[in-house]
Amino acid sequence: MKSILVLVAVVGALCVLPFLGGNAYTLHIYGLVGIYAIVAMGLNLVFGYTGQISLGHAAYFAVGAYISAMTTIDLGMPYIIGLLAAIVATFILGYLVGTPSLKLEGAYLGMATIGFGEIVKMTLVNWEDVTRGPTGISRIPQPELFGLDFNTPLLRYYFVLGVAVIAFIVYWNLVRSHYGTRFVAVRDSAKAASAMGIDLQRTKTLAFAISTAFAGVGGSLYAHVNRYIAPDAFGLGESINLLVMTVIGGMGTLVGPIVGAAVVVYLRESLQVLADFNMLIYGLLLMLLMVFVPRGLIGSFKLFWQKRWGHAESQ
Amino acid sequence: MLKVSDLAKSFAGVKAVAGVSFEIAKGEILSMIGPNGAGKTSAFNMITGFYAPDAGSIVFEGRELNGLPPHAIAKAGIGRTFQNIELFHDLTVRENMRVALQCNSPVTTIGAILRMPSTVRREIEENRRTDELLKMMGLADKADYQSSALSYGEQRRLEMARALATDATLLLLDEPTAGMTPAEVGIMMDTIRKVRDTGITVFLIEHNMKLVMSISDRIVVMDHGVKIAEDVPSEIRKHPAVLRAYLGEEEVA
Amino acid sequence: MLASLMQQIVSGLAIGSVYALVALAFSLTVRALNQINFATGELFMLGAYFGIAFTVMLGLPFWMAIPTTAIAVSLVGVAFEKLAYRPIFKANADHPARLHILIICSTVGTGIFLQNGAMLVWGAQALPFPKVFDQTPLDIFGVLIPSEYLWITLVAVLLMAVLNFFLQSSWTGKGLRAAAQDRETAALMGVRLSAADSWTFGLSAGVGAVGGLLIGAISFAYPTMGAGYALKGFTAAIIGGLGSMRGALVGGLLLGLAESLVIAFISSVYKDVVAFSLLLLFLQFKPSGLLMKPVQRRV
Repeated sequence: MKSILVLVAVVGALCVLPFLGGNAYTLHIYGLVGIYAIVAMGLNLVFGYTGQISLGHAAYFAVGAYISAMTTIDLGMPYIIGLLAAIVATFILGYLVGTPSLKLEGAYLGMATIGFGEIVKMTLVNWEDVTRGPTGISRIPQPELFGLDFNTPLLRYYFVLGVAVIAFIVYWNLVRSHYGTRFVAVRDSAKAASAMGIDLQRTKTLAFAISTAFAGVGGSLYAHVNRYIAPDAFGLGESINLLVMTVIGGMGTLVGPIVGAAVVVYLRESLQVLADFNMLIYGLLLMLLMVFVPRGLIGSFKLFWQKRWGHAESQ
Repeated sequence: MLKVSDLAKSFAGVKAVAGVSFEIAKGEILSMIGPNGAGKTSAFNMITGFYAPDAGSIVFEGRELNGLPPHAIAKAGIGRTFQNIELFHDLTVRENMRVALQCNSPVTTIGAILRMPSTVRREIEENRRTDELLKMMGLADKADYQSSALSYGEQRRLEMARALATDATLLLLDEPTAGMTPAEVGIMMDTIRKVRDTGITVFLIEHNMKLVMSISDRIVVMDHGVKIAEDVPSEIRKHPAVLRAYLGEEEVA
Repeated sequence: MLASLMQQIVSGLAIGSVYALVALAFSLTVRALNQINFATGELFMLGAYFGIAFTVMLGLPFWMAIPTTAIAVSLVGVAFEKLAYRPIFKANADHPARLHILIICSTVGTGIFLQNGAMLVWGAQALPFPKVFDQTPLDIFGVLIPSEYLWITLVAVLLMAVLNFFLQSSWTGKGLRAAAQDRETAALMGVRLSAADSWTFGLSAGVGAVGGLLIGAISFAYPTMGAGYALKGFTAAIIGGLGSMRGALVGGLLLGLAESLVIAFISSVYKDVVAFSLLLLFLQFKPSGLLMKPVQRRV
């Protein structure tokens, strides 16, 4: 009950946020945080909870974006159909890719996911008849639901916020459900998990497919809020970015991905002032964070809290 | 209940188990003893599907288990513990139990995502069953502890509780008293008896002779991958082959 | 037709021997530490720039630039191990799943850092390399072969032979192999693990850097040149068997040859598709590669 109250309070605060000096630019940035938070939540299921690796999630982000954009533009469907199509397509694709890949472990799994990711990117570039090739798709319609057009920055912000809150609730329910504990069980001891009747392969694949569906939702929002997509934005660099959000926030913590998405988006925007030094500093920060904050911001905070006030009970 | 025949397995040319046969009857406590490297844990791992046997058959309640993966064998009703404790250390005691409780009652994805009333009801029922099992294992007040925060003996008992939570009818214990103090061994002995009294068949590997001799209904003795004896404790005590295998290793109490 | 095919094969083998060096760079860290170094491509890129620096700025002859570049980039690798690998390894050794992910992120961070550092120092444009190889093509049975390709293959194979000799015969090399096989036992035998890890990163960086130097010498140096070669090198390592020295050589040459044949018979557009397809096929059906024994899964 307490946690629901906290959720309501936080959502309330986020609703008020635009009126604390928000302009079109800051609203766009807040929206990006929401979109990336959705993708990072999904990734956290794979990395944080199930202990598996994916270095190709930008591909599912891209597929979500493209499917959604093409459903609305080329098929003339309403936005909600585009969103649903993105979810279904990325879930199925994740399942198909995950089934063979998740037999692999560690470095091998990482490379397999990179390989599939690059194949998706190559397809987007080369299958010009459908994807419009390297130039990408522009003038993607704004999100619209049941006749309501989200045609101002403020409305788009609320739209992203709404979807992100729904995504969070789904993710939260999943984490505290049997699936959540099952994912952690696979991570903590694969041996014991299979002795408890858990099909390791199926469980890992399910976690992967759910996370690719989250990436699909994020992709769909990205396409219709940004209104322009091109294959370039969805390469290995973007996959790594998504991973970094999850790790910086705190793998395997509930709100870590959201904090991580906010931190990474904020860092990347504020480092812009450094011009040419921007990426140099970003790389350096990444190294430093891994050395000094290995559990991520939320994970370290929890650890500190336990040490300070701590006892062995977790609740 | 379980019938193992001509079970064999080698690793890199070395025969770990070389044609072993035995049976376990419903409701009994059967112990498997033998020097280190005798093939006891390998036999366990084959019965529970972790190793694929090179030859032989494992029939559990009329069903051939050879070739099934570990999770299918767990579902069939064989629970196990591990020599080196394998808990889900980042989960609480209750969550550890919860993983096991869903062994034979799958949850639906949609139910979980939407957190439907049926899901919530089920959690209440699971908590009841968890409390019951934890009480039997003497862990009733530890339900909300992180499992890694339990003492050694408690972790072993949690592993047993978790194995029982899969609705196992046959429980395989791999050295349940390894590294325990005499007091903890005493608790473990009582616990194993309690488990058997609820109608569950117990099959254990154990080095502690005092425990083996006092709780086993029958004992299987292994040496160098083969079975050298199988009998009731009083007979095993004076069995010449057993004495020979153990001579200089450990005194048969 | 035959002549152009021959030329394609020779250039394929030359590029393949560079892939082999990159594959070896990956294999060294995977074999010793079970970690992929995602900055391998950027260390390769540094090799090309350092090569230019040594030949143009210091005026060293090319054959001298090879060892100096290897040593200089090795030192970068060692620094990297001490600053961004060891502290993470120490703090998370008991948590292998997390360790893997942290190492991925920190090596990626290092890669970004090196790439952008190179861009700041040398600019984003491609820097031409002074012509170091004899430009007159070799006439082999009437087929003209650019001699630089032969030089590249020679240098790469020679370097691998030297490294092999070092690992097999020297005291340090034996210690490294022992540590790669079983860290605990090696430590008991007196191998200093932290020194072994520094050596591993240093050797890996040096080998990759020579690859970059060789590619730079026949084309250009530019900050983003590492990514493509890293991917190809990794694919080569998987084909031959990740962690195997001979596997790196075989995998590299096979991949280079396969690419050149695709260019010769199909189209250069599909060159990169070959690598990806091979990578995924091997990962799926033979992840242990051609030359490594499949690991028996034990519980």
